[in-house]
Amino acid sequence: MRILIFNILIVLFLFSKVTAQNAAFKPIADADMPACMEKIRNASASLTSLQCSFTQNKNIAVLSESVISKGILLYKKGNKLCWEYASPYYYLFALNGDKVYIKNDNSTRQFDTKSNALFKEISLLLMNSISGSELIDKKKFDVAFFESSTRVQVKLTPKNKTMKSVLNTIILYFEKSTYMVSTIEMIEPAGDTTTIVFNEIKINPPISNERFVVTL
Amino acid sequence: MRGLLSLCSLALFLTSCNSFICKNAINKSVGRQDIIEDFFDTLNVRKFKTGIHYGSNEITGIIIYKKLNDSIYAGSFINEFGIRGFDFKLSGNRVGMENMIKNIDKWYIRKKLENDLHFLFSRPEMISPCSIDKTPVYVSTVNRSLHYVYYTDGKMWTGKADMYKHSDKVAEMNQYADKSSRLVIKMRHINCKLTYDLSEITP
Repeated sequence: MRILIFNILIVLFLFSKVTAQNAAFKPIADADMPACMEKIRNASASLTSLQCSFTQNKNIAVLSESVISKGILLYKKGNKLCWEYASPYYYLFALNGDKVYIKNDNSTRQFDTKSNALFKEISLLLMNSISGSELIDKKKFDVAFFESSTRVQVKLTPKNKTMKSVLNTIILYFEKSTYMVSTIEMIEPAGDTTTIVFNEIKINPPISNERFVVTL
Repeated sequence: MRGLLSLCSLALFLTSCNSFICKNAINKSVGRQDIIEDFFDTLNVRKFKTGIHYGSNEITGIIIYKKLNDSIYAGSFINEFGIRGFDFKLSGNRVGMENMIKNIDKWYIRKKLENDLHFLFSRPEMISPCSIDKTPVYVSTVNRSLHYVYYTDGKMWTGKADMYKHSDKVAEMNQYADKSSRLVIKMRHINCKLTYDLSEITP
């Protein structure tokens, strides 16, 4: 009986937390949207480099299981991106201009984004996720803006059928202090969610070009 | 008459196939529990760093494999970015593929994956002792043409197994523990360049 009550309390606590989170965000008035978008675009335009750590939580609905991955992200203007996982195992995805490098414990491989459409799409998505501004495309998504006292939430619902079959919604969270993305949430049709939280964000730090080159 | 002869030939052919390559087969199956350890002991979920290689192509990610109840197991393959490759459900001798990513959702890939995932993750309920090349083994018959051969050290399964279709060995598998992982599974097809490398991620 005591366990049952304890479980009910936990469920109530979690539910109240979720409700509180949703309640914290209120729709941004249509008239205020252009100004909000402008701030996001300005922040993106002034971004020359970025360094942060990240935590990625993939929740698999059908198994009620999640996989948590952690690592470091580096970005530099000029199509330079390094997405480096440290756990649960080492894996590196680096983009440098037209070149994509993938490195794991056993091998290093190089691809050309010009000749590989899949890598071009992945690279674009990852690059655009950094600032978020390019993702907010009203031709590709139905866009809805919400805000709390500290964050702006942008809900993107794909219009394209192919994209819809993969993702129901992409939610971007921007910190109002920087107007940079701090969290990305992706919700799939089967109910799976992927949440990427960026921490220890350093904006425009010096990063050497060598960090984006992987020796084969 | 010709039809009857054809039927007889077919029956003889099937019988010869069914005889597999097992010698001294004892027509009595035994429960596998004392010979092959259960996949799930204390945990009901296991996660594997996974690489599926075909020639120079490879897909990498994580397989999460979970016991849903006493007879149904389910798994999911996701890549490092969290993108789902496929889901699968294993029940008895059947594997069903679900939610396959569009660019690999072809009937022949589906069929191959179903067979291979069953070999990788299933634990047969009943096995029959026999010998191959004078080596004592235990055999699990999945269907009329598909057999798994488990090699033992006389008592327990050594972790080495082969997949036979009719009397041809089509794939081999090795399961072992090493310094970095509690369970490493390597599977290799004999006639095509398809291999699987799995190593359990320590919780």
